[in-house]
Amino acid sequence: MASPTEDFFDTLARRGHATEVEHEHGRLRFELVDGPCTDHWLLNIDDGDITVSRDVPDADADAVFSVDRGLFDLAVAGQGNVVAAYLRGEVGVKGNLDLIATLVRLLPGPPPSSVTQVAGEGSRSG
Amino acid sequence: MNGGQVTSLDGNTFVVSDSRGDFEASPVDPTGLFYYDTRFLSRWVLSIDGQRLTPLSVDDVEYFETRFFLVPGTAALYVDAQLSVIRHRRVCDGFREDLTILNHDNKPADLRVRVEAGCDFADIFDIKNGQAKKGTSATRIEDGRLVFGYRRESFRRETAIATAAPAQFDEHGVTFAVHIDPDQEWSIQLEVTPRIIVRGGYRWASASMPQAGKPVRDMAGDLQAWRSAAPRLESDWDPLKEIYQRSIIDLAALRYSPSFGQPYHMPAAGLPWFMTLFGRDSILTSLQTLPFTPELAATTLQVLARWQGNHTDDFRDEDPGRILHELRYGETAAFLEQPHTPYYGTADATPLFVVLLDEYERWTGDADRVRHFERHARAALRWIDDYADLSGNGYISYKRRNEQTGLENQCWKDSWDSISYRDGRLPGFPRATCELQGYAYDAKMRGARLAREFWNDPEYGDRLEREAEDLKARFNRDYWIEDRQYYALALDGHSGSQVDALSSNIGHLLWSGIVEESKANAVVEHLMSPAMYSGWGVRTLASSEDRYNPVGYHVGTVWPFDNSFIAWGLRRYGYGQEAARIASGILDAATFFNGRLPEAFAGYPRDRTKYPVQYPTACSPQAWSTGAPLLLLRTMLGMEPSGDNLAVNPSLPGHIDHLGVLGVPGRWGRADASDRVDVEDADVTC
Repeated sequence: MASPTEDFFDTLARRGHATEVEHEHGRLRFELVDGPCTDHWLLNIDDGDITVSRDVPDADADAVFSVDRGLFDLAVAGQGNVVAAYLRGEVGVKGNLDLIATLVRLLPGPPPSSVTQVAGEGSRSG
Repeated sequence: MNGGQVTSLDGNTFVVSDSRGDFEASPVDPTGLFYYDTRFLSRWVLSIDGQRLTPLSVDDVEYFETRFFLVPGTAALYVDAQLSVIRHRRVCDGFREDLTILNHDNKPADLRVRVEAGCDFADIFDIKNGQAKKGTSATRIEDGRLVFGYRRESFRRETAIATAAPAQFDEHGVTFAVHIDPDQEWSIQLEVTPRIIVRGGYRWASASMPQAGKPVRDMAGDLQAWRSAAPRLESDWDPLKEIYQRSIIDLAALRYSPSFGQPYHMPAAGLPWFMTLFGRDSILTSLQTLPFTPELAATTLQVLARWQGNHTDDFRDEDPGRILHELRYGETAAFLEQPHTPYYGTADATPLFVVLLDEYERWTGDADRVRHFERHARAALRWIDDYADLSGNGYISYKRRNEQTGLENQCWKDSWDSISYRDGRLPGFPRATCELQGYAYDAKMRGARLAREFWNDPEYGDRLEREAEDLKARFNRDYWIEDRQYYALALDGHSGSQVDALSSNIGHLLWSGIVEESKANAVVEHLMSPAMYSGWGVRTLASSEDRYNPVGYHVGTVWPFDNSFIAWGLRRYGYGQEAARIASGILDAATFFNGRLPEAFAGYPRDRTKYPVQYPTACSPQAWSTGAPLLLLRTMLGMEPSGDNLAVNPSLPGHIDHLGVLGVPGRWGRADASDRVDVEDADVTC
């Protein structure tokens, strides 16, 4: 069974394009540490177009995020805020720290069960 | 200097000390060295042979640089001082201090010079709320440095103190055994460096170990370039020159990088409590300063777009399309004791984002940026309809979803008692304050222009304009209090009734254009009435209202920024003389503060105090107070982009006979704006 992290990257790869990161460009590499093992993922974002590569530990990147696999599994389930985790020292970022905002946009929000329905939400669309 | 305190700052790094250069902060007192919302040094006390020093004078060289001239001993003892001390402090990712002791005697001096140091690593919110620390501290001496450390789980912060020459460190400071020959001097450089330690040893901002003596950023050159790029002011009223220079320099001082060391800058909100990114403050300051320093607007749009909400998150009061309220970097944010990573609980920043984008294009002609932010602007406009209409009545309203640490009032008057009925009752939630509807109207009208001219979507433009016109008609029906002839402060989402207090918010309605022409005169008469206009400016709340308090934060004080937008609104509706009167009062007030307007001053009538009494805990400098004189220059000259030209339509206060702003940057290149019609390049329409 795939882990939440694998699901997250697989879903992004299948989508191929994410409107939430249109106009953005950058290569985000992830070092996901699980005890002695480290998983490497690379997200390439080109004006909303997304490609995902795995097992590319030496790939050039604009930002390298280093984080425990368990924490990342929570983050991709919308249960954990990457910015707060960064401030707590749980996420290392080498390179362009601005790209943390790009990552936050690609991550899901809190699970729907934990949020209040907003009045009028979705009642109209632009 | 403020109350004997001396501040040196550079964006969100700042040092607040006494006039000796010392600080001994208590847990609830915002003195010390602050960096990204954390106090990295709380104790810093210089002594010579066990004696404290006495200040002779303080020279605020530049905002980031202070020189303290001192003599040993207390005031009663220094009559024929044989020693003098110069303490030269520069803030730059921490601070650096050059300490020089001059021996004026004909005998050599052997001295024990000591700097006591200590650190409590208080979060700025710990200081505001008097909270105790939850982690543990440790001090160590390593490699000729004194290092204070703080740890709470994985959260680590350190402060390193280094000296340019060998020194004797202990856990409470550093001591120098000094010998100075007659008529000679001794000096040492100390460097204090904050360090934010994150995973993998990657360190934030100050990546290298501190080493006194290494070159620092050329801050003087940077300030010089900033000042040179700003337009030049000419006026026969001399105080205006000081006010203008103060504003340009303070804007430079308040610039900071919200993304930790990136080479771009936007204004932080205000010293000492708000030295961080605020959506509303950054947008309004950018609007005020567009004719002078348009790059602040460009950065503000970029950063706020980057952090635009795209989730529904109750803890952060986040919705898709919502523009953030506040981003913080301290321990309370890190451990989710505060929701500031970032917090989205503001109801005005989102429509104001669209207003700024349009105004930015009108001045700069930067069409590429407007196209670049199309998605963000559309999401912001969508937020108004889909997420902000909490009562289902077609108006923006607010009610926090984070009941513990979210903001109750999500408009600019965000204190608990700011929104009230005339009789003092507080309305229920959701609250739909009037100025929010003005901003929504303006955002839609401006969005319509952007859709037609830049997004190639005239149908969307037509729809936005129809919605805006509909909003204006409804607003003028639902908010207008017929028997009092002004707009209600808010609609009470609980009872549905008009919140009938008379407030300065109605001035913002003029700025946004939502006021029907037939009602403008009554609104202006209220704004300029004795109940509202103190002689210095328009009060936040009329003196006739139950909760009025001349020293109440949002219930009676006069806010320079508020007045600058009211003046803009008065010009929009053709009330040039009234706008000039507002400008005159606020600029007169600035002369009492060496040209630097505080966040707010008391609402006492001017003829009673003769002096603008500063609000007790007002921030200074504060970005939108710093921007207020600049917007008032615009309103006095009636500067407006007109096609590819700069139009001018002056309306000056009586005591200013001549006013010119030369070299205004914009889509025209540089142009001069002046009340004198012979100025070249200006499209004078007076």
